[in-house]
Amino acid sequence: MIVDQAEALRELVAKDRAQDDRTHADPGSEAPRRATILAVTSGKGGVGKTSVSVNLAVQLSQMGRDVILLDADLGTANADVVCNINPPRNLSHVVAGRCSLQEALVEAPGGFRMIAGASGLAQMAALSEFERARLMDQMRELEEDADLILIDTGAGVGPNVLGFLVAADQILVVTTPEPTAITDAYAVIKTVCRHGEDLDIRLLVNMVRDEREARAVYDRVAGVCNRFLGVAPRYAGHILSDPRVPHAVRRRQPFVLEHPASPASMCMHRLAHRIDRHASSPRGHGLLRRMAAWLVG
Amino acid sequence: MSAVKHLVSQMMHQQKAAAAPSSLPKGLSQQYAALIQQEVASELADEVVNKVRHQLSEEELHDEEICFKAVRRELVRYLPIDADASEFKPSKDGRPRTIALMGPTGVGKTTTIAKLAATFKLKHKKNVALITLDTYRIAAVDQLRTYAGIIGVPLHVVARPQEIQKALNLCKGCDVILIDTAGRSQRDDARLTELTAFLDAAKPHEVHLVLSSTCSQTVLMEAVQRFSQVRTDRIIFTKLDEAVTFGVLLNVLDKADMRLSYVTTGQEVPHQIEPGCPNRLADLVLGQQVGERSDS
Repeated sequence: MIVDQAEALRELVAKDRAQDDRTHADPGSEAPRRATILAVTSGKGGVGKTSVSVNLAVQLSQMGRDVILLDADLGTANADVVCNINPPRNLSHVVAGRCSLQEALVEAPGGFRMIAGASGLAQMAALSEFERARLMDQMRELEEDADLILIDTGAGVGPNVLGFLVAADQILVVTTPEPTAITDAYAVIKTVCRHGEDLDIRLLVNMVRDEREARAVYDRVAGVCNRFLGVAPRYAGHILSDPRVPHAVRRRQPFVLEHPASPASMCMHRLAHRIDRHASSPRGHGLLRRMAAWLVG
Repeated sequence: MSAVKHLVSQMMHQQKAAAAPSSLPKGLSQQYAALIQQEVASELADEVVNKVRHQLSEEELHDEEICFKAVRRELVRYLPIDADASEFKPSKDGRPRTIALMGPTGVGKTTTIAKLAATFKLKHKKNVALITLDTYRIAAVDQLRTYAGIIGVPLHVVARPQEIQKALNLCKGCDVILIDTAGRSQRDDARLTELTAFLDAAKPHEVHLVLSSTCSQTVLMEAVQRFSQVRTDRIIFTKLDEAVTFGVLLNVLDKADMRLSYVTTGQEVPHQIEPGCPNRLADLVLGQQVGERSDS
């Protein structure tokens, strides 16, 4: 990060906010609920990140969780397309200050709520501090309004993607058995590890023939991570390759709704259960605090 | 060319320093030389040194340390300080304490405002609002908006004097309102008139004239004179870290009949600003380093 004349100021503000957080958090009484934040990412595009996010959101809400999906893929957002909805407001309105995150929430099929992304929102890459701060403040409100926030980040490791990743309670890195997808997944893990500590990173292998193939992919990534980073992601699970998945996407329906008994849906179901178990365990700091800390660091 | 001028003026000062105090005792003449070296006006230096001379005994006048302290003590009296600067005081009329900054171009008004906003908000824990009238310079609003975003305070942009009341109404609930004005040349009468219209509408409690301590005395005095026709009641000196000599600060304060509210010592926001402190300025005028801050 480039150091400018406001560096010390940012640090001070972050400290100040952290202090506010602490004073507001009343230890005795019951704390307001805070959503678990799960960031779904991938090094490479086209590995099924959005499909995983949407279907996971459906599964988790069918399990009775209050789920919000934030489509933060800023270049090529399309979670709304996958769900066949056409929300009047999306993230670009929020960034422009024309509405709040709350106001941009829409009901999606399957029972969850989502905030649609904005395709081609290139200026997001250059979010001003003012805009970023406003977005963060609103996210804090959102945190108290759901059990789980799924963030569908863009592919790659740009500053915006990274901000969401480091702030999340858990990072789900999606890859496929393709060598390019694997190397890109490793690149994401490497970059994230450099920017944050004690992160809960999990690898989901999508579009595999069977579990053995998924395990082999996981072993390769974990091996490289162990050797060069000293840490390894955990195994999140796998999704079987299923011709009904692209079919459902074409029909603009989440496949777990369209074909609930298909092998891919079963895999999704297992993944959702595992994540839900994790979501109910106690958690640390709020998103904003960690995000602020990241912006400073 | 400026280097040559500087050299010549230094030589002249040194000559003066050597010539004037031939009758001075050694301890005192050293302090006198230091003052002249720092470009303190020779009348002022004479005055200070003469006062000290009458205060001290013959023996003390030969002690360098005692002379230094006596001169420093005397200098402090020549440095009128705004006592309100070091802590937060609410205004007496119930309005938010309204502070406007103005001054020539390029002296660092906006950076200073950001420092003040951060100090009030983060150190004194006050509700701060920013108003900028600087819609003239490219990206001036953006610069302040960036700071406002980081600090987390609202920023209102006002383009015409008629709009300022509306902005002030929006800030009613705040503790402090800081108003940034566009940097104006002290020679531009039309712009200064415009500034007057803004200030008449805003009715700030304090108007701080922001001056760069790297300017020459002539420039500073002209700015003081012209801007006081608009309205100024306090002075902020910026860029102390870039100044070569500090005598001019003393000379200007002595002539301007305004109190010193703040000095800034670097570009970093928000740390490099301090409320004016007479001891510290006296040290600077006596040739101590900017960085060292003696709290005695």
